[in-house]
Amino acid sequence: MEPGEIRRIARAISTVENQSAGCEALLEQAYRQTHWPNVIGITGPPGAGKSTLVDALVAHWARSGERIAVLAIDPSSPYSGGAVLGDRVRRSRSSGLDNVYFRSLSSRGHVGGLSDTATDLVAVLGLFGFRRVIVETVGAGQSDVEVHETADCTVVVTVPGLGDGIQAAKAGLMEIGDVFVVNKADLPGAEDTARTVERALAAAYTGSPGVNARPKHGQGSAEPAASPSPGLAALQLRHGDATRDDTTWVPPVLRTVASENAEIAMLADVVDRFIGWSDGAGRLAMRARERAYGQIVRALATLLLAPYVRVPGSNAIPAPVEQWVKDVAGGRASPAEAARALLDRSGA
Amino acid sequence: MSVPAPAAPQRRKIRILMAKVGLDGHDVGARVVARGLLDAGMEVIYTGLRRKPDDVVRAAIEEDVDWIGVSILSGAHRVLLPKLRRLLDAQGAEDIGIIAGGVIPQEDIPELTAQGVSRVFLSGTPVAEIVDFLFRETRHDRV
Repeated sequence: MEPGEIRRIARAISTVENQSAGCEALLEQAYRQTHWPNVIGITGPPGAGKSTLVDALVAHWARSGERIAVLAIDPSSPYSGGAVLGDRVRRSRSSGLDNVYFRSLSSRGHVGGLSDTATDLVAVLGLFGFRRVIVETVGAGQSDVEVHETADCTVVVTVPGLGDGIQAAKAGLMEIGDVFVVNKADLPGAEDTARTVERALAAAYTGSPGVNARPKHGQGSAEPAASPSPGLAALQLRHGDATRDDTTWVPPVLRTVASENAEIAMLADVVDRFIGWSDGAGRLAMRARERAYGQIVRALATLLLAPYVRVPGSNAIPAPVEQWVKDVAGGRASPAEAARALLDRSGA
Repeated sequence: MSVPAPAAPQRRKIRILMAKVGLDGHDVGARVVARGLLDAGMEVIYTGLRRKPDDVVRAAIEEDVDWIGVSILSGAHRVLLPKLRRLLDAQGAEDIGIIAGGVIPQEDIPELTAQGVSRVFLSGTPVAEIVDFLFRETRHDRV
């Protein structure tokens, strides 16, 4: 990278993170481009070795010379809003590579939410020519799971010895994985852990790990599900419906030891294969549209609600709503009437 | 029920890179300070142990930090700290300040200050003093 370019990238990231001066113009530029980076999400419980895995993957992909960025997200304190961001510590193979940009972010305090901020940051990184962005989160909270809306491929990482590690996270990790990894696979219990995950997946998927073609001529085809549950419907959006679609994806469960180059290469290959399949099956585009829809609705909500929402740090009821608050609390009107009147008044 | 917050200006968080440069491996002091900064609402980024000065500077620029906090127990401060300052300045990062702590003799402080270290905190300084300094001295026009 040119001298000064890292500074410009870093400053652009900060501008978006802080929504500071120039942010809107920058995002208008960033969203007007056709070369979106491939986004790979890496998540899992603490202790799974995600950062070390990210380090190995980045080093692997960086060999091609293409620009790769890592956004490493750590939880911030709910009390102080501060954070200790420690993912850089695990860098070894990927540190010192000039075509790699690494940025640590905290999970809270992002206006509009972490997920939208992450998508904005990916757009900005695309402006600077990044082909790949890895987003790393600790899969323990709701927002950590939501951020994977941004990812084109989500890798869920667990390790032996956490018992029912992925289920125990209780944050929907089983529902968002495109690829599952049992890391530190040289530890005892690795095969058991892998088989536990495979069994859980078998409850929702039919076929072999990877791309599956729908059998022709009704051979072995099952009945379409009458009305899939929301969880199943979300899975089918990402991975296809075996009874209807030409090809479907069954998430594979890989065993890795981060120091084993061959296993890292295989993981990288599986990720790329998923993205290739997802693109070819039209699902990448579908997900991009879903994402855009969510972002527009949230941006709209922010704009519409702005006159009525409290200033952070103040307890005062905003003026436009003050009289209605007194009327509803005083038994003179219903909340719905208040809302309709405010909407009419605003001319929306 | 939560509503989306309006895009009101929020106080930007102070970001500081905690660096251990050189050959020593202890980081208890750095962790105690990091905890205090976290409690004060700052974002503390660890570089990890035994990083080269070039790597520390690259990290500081990538992370767009306000400060680099260097903990030196090895006595190498008279070489390492000015080197960090030179590398930062050479990359156009004159606005990133350096603060230092650890085993640094009081008589070395004037020289370090002359070489561009913003402040040296002698071993045993209460973390509250470091927090106060950072709140006072961080330039919020950097963004």
